[in-house]
Amino acid sequence: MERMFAAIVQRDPLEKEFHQAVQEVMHSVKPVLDRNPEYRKQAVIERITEPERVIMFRVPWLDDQGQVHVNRGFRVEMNSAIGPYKGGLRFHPSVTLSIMKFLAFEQVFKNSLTTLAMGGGKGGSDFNPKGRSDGEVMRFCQSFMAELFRHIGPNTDIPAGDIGVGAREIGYLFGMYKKLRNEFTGVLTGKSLDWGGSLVRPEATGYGTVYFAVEMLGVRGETMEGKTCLVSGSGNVAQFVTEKILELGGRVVTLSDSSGYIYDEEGVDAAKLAFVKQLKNIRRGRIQEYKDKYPQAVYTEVDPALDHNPLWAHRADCAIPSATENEINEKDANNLMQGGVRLVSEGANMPSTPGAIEVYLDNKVMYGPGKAANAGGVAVSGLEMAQNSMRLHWPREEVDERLQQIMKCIHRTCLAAAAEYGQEENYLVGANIAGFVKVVNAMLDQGLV
Amino acid sequence: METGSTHQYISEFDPLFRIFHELMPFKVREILLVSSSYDAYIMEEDGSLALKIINEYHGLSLSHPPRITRVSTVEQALGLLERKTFDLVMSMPHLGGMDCNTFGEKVKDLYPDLPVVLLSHNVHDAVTPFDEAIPCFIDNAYVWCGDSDLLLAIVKCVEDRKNVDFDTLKAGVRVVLLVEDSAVHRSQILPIIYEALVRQTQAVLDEGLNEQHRLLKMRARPKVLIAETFEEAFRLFAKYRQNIFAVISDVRFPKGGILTDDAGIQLMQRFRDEASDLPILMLSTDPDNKEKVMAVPAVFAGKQISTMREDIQTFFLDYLGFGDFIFRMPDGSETGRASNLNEFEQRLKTIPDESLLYHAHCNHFSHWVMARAEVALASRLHKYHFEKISDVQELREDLVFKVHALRRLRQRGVVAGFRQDSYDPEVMDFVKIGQGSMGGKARGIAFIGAQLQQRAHQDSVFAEVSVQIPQTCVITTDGFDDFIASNGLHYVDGQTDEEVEKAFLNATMPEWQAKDLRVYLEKIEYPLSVRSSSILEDAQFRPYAGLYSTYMLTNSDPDFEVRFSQLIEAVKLVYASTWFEGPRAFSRSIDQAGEDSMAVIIQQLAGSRYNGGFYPALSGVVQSFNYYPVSPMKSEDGIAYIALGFGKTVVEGEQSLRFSPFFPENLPQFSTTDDILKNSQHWFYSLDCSEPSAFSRSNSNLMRREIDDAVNEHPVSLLCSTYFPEEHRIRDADLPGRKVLTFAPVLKYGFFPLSEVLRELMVLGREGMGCEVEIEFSVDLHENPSRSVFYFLQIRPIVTGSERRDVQITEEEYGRAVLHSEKALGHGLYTSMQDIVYVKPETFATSLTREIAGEIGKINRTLQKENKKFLLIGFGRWGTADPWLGIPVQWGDISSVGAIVEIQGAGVNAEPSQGSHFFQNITSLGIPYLMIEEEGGEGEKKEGVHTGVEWEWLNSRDVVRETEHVRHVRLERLFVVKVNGQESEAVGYPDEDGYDTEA
Repeated sequence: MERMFAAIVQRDPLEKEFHQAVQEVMHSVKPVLDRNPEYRKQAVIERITEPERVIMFRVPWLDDQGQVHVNRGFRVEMNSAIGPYKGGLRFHPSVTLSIMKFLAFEQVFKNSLTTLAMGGGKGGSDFNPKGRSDGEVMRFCQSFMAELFRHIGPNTDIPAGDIGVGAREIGYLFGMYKKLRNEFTGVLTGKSLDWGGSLVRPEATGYGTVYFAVEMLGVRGETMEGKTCLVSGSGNVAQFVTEKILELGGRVVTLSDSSGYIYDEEGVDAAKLAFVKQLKNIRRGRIQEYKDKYPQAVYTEVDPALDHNPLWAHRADCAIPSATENEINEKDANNLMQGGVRLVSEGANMPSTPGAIEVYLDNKVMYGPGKAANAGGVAVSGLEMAQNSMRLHWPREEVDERLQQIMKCIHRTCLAAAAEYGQEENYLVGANIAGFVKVVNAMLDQGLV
Repeated sequence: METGSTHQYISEFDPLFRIFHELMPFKVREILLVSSSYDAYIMEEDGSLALKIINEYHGLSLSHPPRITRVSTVEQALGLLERKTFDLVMSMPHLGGMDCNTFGEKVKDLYPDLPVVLLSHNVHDAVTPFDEAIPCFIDNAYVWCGDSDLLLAIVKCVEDRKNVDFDTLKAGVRVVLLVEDSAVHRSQILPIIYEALVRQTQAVLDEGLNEQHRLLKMRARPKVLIAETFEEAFRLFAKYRQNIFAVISDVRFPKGGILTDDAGIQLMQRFRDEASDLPILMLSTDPDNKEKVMAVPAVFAGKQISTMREDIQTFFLDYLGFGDFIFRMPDGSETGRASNLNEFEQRLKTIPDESLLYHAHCNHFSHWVMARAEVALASRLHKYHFEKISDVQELREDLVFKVHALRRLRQRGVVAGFRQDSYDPEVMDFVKIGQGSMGGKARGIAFIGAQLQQRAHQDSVFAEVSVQIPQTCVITTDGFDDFIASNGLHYVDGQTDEEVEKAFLNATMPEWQAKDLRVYLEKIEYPLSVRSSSILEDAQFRPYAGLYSTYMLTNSDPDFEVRFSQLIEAVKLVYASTWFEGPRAFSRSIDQAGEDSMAVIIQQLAGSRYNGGFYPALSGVVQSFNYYPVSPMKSEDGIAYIALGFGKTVVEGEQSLRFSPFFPENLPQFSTTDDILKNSQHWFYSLDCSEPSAFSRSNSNLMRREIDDAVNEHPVSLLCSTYFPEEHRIRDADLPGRKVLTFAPVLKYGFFPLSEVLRELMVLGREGMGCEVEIEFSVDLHENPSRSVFYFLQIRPIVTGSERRDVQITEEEYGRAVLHSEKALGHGLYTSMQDIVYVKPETFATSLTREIAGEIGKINRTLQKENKKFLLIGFGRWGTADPWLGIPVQWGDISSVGAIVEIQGAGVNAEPSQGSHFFQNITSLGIPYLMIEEEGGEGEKKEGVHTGVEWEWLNSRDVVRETEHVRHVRLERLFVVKVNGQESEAVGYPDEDGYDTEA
């Protein structure tokens, strides 16, 4: 493994971000490689860490003053063993080939985990959309697509949005693609609802996290009904996590933001959730205002001197961290255990530190890692592709139902993979292995290409 | 008349004044009278000639009567002419053997353009060469009959002849052509004409303009030109055809060198062919000429002394519109009178239809207005405009509209003295009560008002859009002085603010001031703001969210006394605020002796009423220089901040939108949907009109309202976009859904040319004040864009001379610098930091930026508790969300920062993080932000001076604390950061001279 890694580093010594991602994956799938010498013989690691294709291209465009700018565009088509390339486009000054490769590499496994037929890719440009007018963004997108269109298609590569690429940019990109190709296809996801976008996109990650939690509970013969849940954050993911928990009969007692958190013994009901949505989505206020509105709640301000987050010290059944990275450390995890929490389903990306994860595993807590539990967003992206293929626009309920099925499937896959490698109910191991195995098996099936 | 220098300077910007100021450039100041002693004795039989002239001038309120120097011989005259400058030579006939024409020739040899006039006691001597073969060196000849009016007339006539070309070209000044070959009759007629003209002009001046106007408009009176022959008359007519508005002519005079009995008839017929409406008066000693004259047609009058004066005056009144306009029925019965344009406009609304039609079709309106030197209006009131209007009401409205428009136009850009009997808010934009100073703020507003008026006629955005100052009334400083003196309020100096306020409120407003304010308020129905206009130059430069109070009045209580008492109270409170501790402390801090006096500005509040609240659609501030330019902005493009509702939002640093008037569609705060949701305005300020009798001193009746609660009100619905959460997208349209304030219709889609207006205002302000400026404004947006109005509220300089000097980086400072940047944002001298927190270059890695952010946050919290500012130095982009790009600090991690240094790697775009909240904090707090593109790189601005940081020096400082990646050092003395925002250059060096810590 070290030799393999050294070779990767030697080949591209400056791609530090990519190295880190490869190292993490390799470490987590070591049991698989140990058990399956065929994988080593077929050099799956060497193959899976090399993109199938990298496209780098010039993107010239004019600003509103007629001045010429030249940016660089990328599309890393990492792996298409289980489906056409799927991954976002990022417009940000930090975009480099290394960043794109690292993100594309992670995307392969994330997409694989959804159980949908989606390969992995990532693209973007070092264009900075901040402060640019609509016209400038449009001209850039058109120039970008003027090259990219040759390499993408509904059965080849389906980009989506990412940092710096929102609904506006997707619209401009799609318009140009349609102009050049003279066809209306689902070549991009994240489209507007009026022309091919899917419902339930904003809710997907939050709902998906809860669905995954429900599945974990189901393994132990439990449901969400009556469960008390600690939810962190108050943004998009946390709001829809809360909404789905309420729908399923659970109770949410905390929400937070960067300034502090509220604890509402009565629980956040639908009206309170509506208030939070208005507060956060429209007024961009602070969660502290929840206490002004509902005085029975307790607001606790962030204390930087503390080495833990008191939000995780309340008694509850479930914890759904939905705020940010590294928000649950080892001490927090211990507090969760002491508070009776028996389930952690991650709505955010990497909210638990390695030390916290150790605590979960040691205490046999039902732990749904982010890459599995919050795959709902990616899943709905796949559902958008499916609807486009059929020229259909599913109603909300249907999308939600299919999302639930996908999360069930993810759960099942993780569980099975974990069990296969003697790590019963270790969803982290299960997620890493399941995603990896599916891809490498497909690669082997398809021969040395 | 030349007014004092200050008034003259101000008045030069009065658009009308400037024209009039230039008129009549030639004035007769020095007269050389050449007469024998006997002739002189005759002339002075009734009194000193000089005194007569002086009296004539004073009687007519004319300034600077000419001085007369008398000599008795030709030799003396010629000798004096060689030594001294004269404007006019008057010669009596008897010059010791030399005839006047020869004398005139000698004078013309010396000064070809010097007028020479013959003044005789009798007809026989008042003869100029008749024969065209003999050159005539006498400009005109007159007969002295003991009437000193003649002297005035001669002087005026000489001036008119010299000035007519310039004045007609410059201001379209009217001309009266007098055709008279007889010196006697000329000497009789000319004074009559001048007297009528001057008196008419004086009467016209009482129309609500200021003192300078009244006196200087005299210069625009009609000019009189004299012709003595048919050919001369015809030549003058041809030349000044467009300006001649009356002809007074003899019937018999030379034509072709021959005295022709009906030369006048022939001439007038020629004139009549070209100008059918031209008023013509023909004078003749022969009554038989009357029928021929009336056939021209023209008015006939006899040349009898007893009746000629009255006949000429009647001609002026009846045919030239002099004097009051007397409205009559067709049968001659009077129905009304108007002595000025204001009354004229009012009468036009009410006189009977028959009278209206009668005067319109007889062209009386046009003549009367022409007599007031309003040429453009006279043209628009000419009878041929009304030939196609059959409906009387339509005619009436048309007339009223035109007169009103002219009255309004004449008042634009003019500071008029307030007069109770003539104040008309419909047309007067700016009035002042009192004779003292207006103060800096008011002066700035008046200056811009005059500038806007000028530019409204040029090819600029101001010609397309209504850009104006709100209606303004200034109580000048003598109001304050009188208030203080009459109430003996000097004793309150040193008392608490509450005691001062109480004393002022209990004091009595001087009667003259109260009366004027009462009359003023009786005619005002709109909400008002009442604020100070200090005379202290330094105070003028302070931000207006600072020292002095502003009060807003709804002015809507049905009881006038309630409204009046609110106004008086507000004025007293503004007066009181000048004695509060805040301004006093400021004055002490700048070694100013304190507020000596204060003017008060009472101003129309910009805005409209919506559902119980009153507010403008948007308010803001624009600065002509941007110390924090972010590409594509440039510093000299300026920067603007706008908010919905009253400008308190902007002024007090609440959520507003920042944009460059040159790039209104480039909005860093609105780059993504999340940015828009986060950074858009959620509240605004509106004047509470629900309780008109309430007057809140603390918040000035302003209420804070949520945008969401006002979505049905026009400004909000116009300026908002709609957010679709299911797509996480904002559409610039008024659709069902959540409203988000984006100002898109104005900034992106041209509903109102705000950016163009701001660009022109910045130029106007910068050029006008000779420095960078900050302008406060409001915009009232109407559903019909053409009815939207941009209000200019205030202007002040940004940078004073001393600030400019302070930021020049000296050679010594370059030498001492341990930090040098050539891409610096901000401006000024920062001397409050002793601590430096920096990321250690030897341990920095992009994979560790999160940890580094945490370490910096801890150090910041400690320094914050100690109330210490620090200089922060690090690598990559500060505040970025992407940890690979830079150090992802939140503002809370660096809240105690005093200055930031960002060291960028090669290839990274050299701009600071446009992470909205982060950059907003930098700009709103004025924190200098220094970017170093290439460490140790050759500087471009200063030869031999490199950019970068002196790490060796930094590493050798005393360490306060150190973590794995960050070091905190503290200096013995302060660290100075100097940023020259004009040059975008900055240096930092340890202070060795002992700067005072900033407050």
